Amino acid sequence: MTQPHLDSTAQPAIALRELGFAYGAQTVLQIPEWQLPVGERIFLRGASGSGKSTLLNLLCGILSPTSGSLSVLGQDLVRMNGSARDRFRARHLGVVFQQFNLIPWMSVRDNVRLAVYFAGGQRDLEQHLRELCAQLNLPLDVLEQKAGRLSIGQQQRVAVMRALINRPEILLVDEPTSALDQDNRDGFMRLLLQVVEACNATLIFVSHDQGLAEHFPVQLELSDLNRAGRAV
Amino acid sequence: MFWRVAGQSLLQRRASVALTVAALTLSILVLVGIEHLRQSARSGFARTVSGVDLIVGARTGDINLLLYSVFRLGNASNNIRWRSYEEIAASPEVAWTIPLSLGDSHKGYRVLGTNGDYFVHYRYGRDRPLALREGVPFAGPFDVVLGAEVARRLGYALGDQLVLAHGTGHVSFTHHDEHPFTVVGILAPTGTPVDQTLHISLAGMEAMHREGADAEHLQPHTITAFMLGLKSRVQVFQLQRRINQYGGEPLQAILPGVTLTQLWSTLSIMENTLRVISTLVLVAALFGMAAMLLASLRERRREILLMRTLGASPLFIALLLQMEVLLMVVLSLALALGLLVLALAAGRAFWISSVGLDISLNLFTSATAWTLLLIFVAAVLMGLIPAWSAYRRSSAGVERQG
Repeated sequence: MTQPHLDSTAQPAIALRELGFAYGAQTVLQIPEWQLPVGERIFLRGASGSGKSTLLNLLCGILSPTSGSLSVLGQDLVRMNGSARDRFRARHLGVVFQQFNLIPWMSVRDNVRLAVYFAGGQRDLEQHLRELCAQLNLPLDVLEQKAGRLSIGQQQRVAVMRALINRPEILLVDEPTSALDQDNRDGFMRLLLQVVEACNATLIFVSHDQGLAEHFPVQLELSDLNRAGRAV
Repeated sequence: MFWRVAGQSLLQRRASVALTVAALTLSILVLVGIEHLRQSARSGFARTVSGVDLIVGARTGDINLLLYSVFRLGNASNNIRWRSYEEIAASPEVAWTIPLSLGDSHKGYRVLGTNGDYFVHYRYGRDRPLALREGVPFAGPFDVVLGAEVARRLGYALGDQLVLAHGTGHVSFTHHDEHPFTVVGILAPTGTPVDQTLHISLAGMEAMHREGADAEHLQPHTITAFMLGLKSRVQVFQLQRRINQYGGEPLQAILPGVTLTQLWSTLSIMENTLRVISTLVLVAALFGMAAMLLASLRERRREILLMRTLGASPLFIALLLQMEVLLMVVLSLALALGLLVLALAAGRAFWISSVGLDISLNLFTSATAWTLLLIFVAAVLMGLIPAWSAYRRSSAGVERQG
């Protein structure tokens, strides 16, 4: 089943204002304002512990902000209840992490089907899988293998496939290349950008590695956004 | 998809799952097995004798009298005189009597001396009379009618000759060699101690002990006990009192139903103890399962986070844990029932020959169903512990390195 894409022409992909998040007494994020237009491909640089994972978790609705407003694709995530956020995340956001993107004891196909299941199913799944495999340079027989058996490079490409399977409007990618060597890294980046181009998704790429910034037209420093920890 | 994930997740942790299932299976086996034996024993005991209004013997404990006269367990402390028996049997309210003379055995099976009324008036189960599978009731003093189990185990057929021994042990040193008995009848199986008994006439019993006498006309001096039926049950307490106050010798009359109930209430402490212990064993196994799942949550932290990222709700995660509990419990229940059927089938012969109880192989009684349902519910409740923990962890902040 194809998801009806939200009418996102008028709305920014992401809009937040006075967004704050604290673990207990410790404020991790405090962002006065940030907007990201639809279709943008952005490199968000942040050192470890700068709050980038927290930001990603907020954007996909796993965490709720302590204060402020946050809307994604025009939907107010703060007002949504938990299960609506879970559904929204499944349908409209794809996420690729640094590692452990796949459940190692399930086959690649089952890993992908799990994502489809949470998004409510998909009619042309097989066709779509074949297309994505071709785009990501994955042999078709990889689908039947246990995810844990694949090489790291393949695992990360499968993770991209899984993230894109529900045709999300937004793709969040967090340090996907840190476990890859130089050759694999360049190959991965090329494929990622190609496939995102083909899907016409908004991409937020988070990394501490300045060397990857060259792939992106827009670059942003998380510390420029985040006021937390600074003297006001 | 949901089942698939739950199933694969269990397969992934085969070793700890297998041990948990083994512990659950054993504890369910013990609980259901004990419950089943208890039920079978209770209904087996209750159906052993029926339609008998009073059992009369020498003065002893109620339960002792019941045990030796009906279940052939233990021995009478004393006999009663033939004259007393005749006098009570002649009372106007008495419809019939069955004299019982015990004390001898054949290869470990008890020999019962009685008369033809035994085959007419004795009832078991729901008022079922004894039936002969082959042959006829005994007529002469050296005729013997075998219980079904005796004939089966010892391989006797009609016309076979056998020798009865004095005393009740398996091995006896005083054989009554000069009196071989002939099998004239074999009873149909009853599932009661009757199956374990060899029946001869009182005259034959007497002939065994009085050598060289004219067997045809022997009259016993004493018998062990007798059963009686009344013309009207209303008179039962009256007659019971009269027998208990009988002047000739100290006698005692019991109502078999009442005494059976007494027997059960004395056993109920043991029954309850067994029940409590087997329940505790099950609870311990369930705690073990909850502990195993809780421990697994730690190593599955990233898995759970990943599913959350894909859009799984905390409820999904909790249900996944609960589903694993259900799969393990259902598997354990099935294994336990299978093993129990095998164990019962294997142990059945022992129960029949040692206690004279026919344990039903049919596990699917409503009592068992309730026990299984309770186990299931208990497991689901216990599964709430890890499920709740997973729910809390996955709905509270999800932390990730970096």
